[in-house]
Amino acid sequence: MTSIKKISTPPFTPAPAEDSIDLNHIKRKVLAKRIREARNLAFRLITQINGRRLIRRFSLSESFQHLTLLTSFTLLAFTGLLQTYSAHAPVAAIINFLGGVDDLRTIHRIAAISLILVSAYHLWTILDTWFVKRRRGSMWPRMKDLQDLIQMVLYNLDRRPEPPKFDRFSFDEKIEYWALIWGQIVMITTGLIMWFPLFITKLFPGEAIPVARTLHRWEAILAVLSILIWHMYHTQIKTRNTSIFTGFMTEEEMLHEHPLEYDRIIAACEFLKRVRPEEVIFPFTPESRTTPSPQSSSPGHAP
Amino acid sequence: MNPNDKHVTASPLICISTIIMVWLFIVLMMPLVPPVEAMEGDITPVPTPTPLGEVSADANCRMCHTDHNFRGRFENGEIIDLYVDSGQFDNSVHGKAGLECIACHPQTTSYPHQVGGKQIDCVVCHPTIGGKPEKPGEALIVDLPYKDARHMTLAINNACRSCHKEEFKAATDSAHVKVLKAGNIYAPVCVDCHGSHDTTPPDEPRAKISRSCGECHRSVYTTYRFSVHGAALEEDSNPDVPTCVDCHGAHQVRGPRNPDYRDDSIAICGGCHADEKLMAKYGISTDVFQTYLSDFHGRSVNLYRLSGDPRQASEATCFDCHGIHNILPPDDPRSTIYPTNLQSTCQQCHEDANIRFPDAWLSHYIPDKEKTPILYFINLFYQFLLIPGVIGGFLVYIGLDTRKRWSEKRKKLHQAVAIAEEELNEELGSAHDFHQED
Repeated sequence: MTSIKKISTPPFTPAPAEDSIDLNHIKRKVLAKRIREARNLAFRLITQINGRRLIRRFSLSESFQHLTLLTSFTLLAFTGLLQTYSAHAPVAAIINFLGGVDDLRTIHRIAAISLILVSAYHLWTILDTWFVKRRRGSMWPRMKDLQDLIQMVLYNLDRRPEPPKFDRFSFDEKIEYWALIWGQIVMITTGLIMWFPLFITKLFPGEAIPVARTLHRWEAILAVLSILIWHMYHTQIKTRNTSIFTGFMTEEEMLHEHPLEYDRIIAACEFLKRVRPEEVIFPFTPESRTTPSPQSSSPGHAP
Repeated sequence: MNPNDKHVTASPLICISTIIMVWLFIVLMMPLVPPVEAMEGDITPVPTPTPLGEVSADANCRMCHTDHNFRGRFENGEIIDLYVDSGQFDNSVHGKAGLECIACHPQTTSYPHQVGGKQIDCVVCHPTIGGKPEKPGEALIVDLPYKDARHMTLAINNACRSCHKEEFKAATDSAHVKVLKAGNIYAPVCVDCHGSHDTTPPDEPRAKISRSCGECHRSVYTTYRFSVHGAALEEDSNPDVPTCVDCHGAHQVRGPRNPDYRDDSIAICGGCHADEKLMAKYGISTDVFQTYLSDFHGRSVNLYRLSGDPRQASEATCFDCHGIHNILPPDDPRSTIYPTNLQSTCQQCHEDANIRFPDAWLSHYIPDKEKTPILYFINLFYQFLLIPGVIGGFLVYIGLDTRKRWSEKRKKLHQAVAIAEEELNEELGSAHDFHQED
């Protein structure tokens, strides 16, 4: 057990001269950064009154983005695929039963606008992460993701005893995200080309329109299949994961699905407790975990 | 008992039997009564045709109606020749079928005829006995009970209905009858297209059909005459190209401004242009119809057509680009779809269309390597590489994952069963373990 030792902030020294390096100054900066990061993590651990602990996985803004995306994507896929296959008599009958192709197109365009808006908002949050919060963002693919994929396949083939442990986003979530980003770029671009053909032909050759049409159709089929197969499998069949709607994951779910991130949160809490014991902004007691999970059961000790 | 009582007691029986008899009589006689439709005043039963060669009642008619000096005067004072070319009639379809004059002129049953309900006296025509007008060579003019020649035509035209019921019925919703009912007496009736005493089959030769329409629709006919369809009809007597009636209908002719005509038109063009056998004769691709239907314009128009809710101004149909009566092959510089004319054709709807805009349409071509390599490779890439690769990869991964999950689940269950058995053995003792003896 690590003994709790108070870490003192390096003493303040006046700003150094331009050509000299002040080690204390750098230390202060680094420590401040670490505290900032630790706070961001520690804030996500929430203890309910009954003692159960939840981890905030998604912010309200992320839940809202997903809900908008879910609605507009479903509407777009439904109204779009009906139009794609309208040459078949039963599909045509459904279209006309629903009120005709004009209404379908109106719905498709309204959904498209909301999708574009939510994509723009997402881009805004990315820029905010980069330039205001000065963080990299946790969706970037890393070498570990490739290793995780290989290890997961090996585990599934009974070649490894344990499955890999995931951090904030597992490789399947990253595949999903980047496929979505790629799909959004293709679908929004080609959709707008088809929406404003007269304007587009002022800038590009006329062939751009049939090219956009073809890409739009294929990409839509690919996107719908991906969502139905990959997304639904990982979030509904393999584990029933509702954290994107509720915003929270239970401790057990976290330990099962994102153990590395869970460990980081706990570590951040411990770190903060040592560095800033006076900050009681987080109801943190790692020792008093009510429901210890078998994977990482740690013997408790008195604070 | 009073003897009269016998009659009194028998009377119900008589009543009942009388009722039954009357009922039976009615039932048995029913088939003999002509149906209600046939009893309507203006339809007369068809007279039995007399075979040619025999002396027919027509001989009576021909006595007078083969003389050029036999004329009639309408109520408006117009004079008309009552001469009928009997040779021409004998060669007509009706003459060959042996129809008599009264088949179509049923009101002239008496001779001399009644005119306007008034029996004409013989001496009106024949002042002296001798069978000839008094002054040979001088016209004999009788008063006709019609306002003018057109009203006579309209009145006699109704006789067609007695035989050609179906055609008459089909025409009731036609554009021509609508115009007629609206009060234009010059709207065409049967005899205007088919002729009266000179009726011959309407499609011998086939070009006759369009020429008949052209009698009234002059400018349209002239345009059509030089279109790809009209020229083939007139010059090569082509049996496949559409005449007027193939697109517009014959008896049930629909006006082109009829809302459902616009959306239905694609099926009219497609009827021939999607027919592989027919198009193979002329080396025309049948892809034109499918490629149209799968594009924005065709998809919309087809859905409007199937919805039963026709649009007055829907997306472009075949004739919006190819022309209506002036359809020409795409390599004819006069054609609306000749490359240099395309921009203005598009501009009919897309006012701001620039010179690049027509390229947005693939000219009915299915993407192939030569003409549209980009599309061809996009299709190949998605169809055979990206979608099977991505989705196939997903499925393989999920398959492996599922198998592992199930096997882990089974393993846990087996372990639990083993522990349970062990505990039971401990509780009950091994005496109850009869498992191996089975």
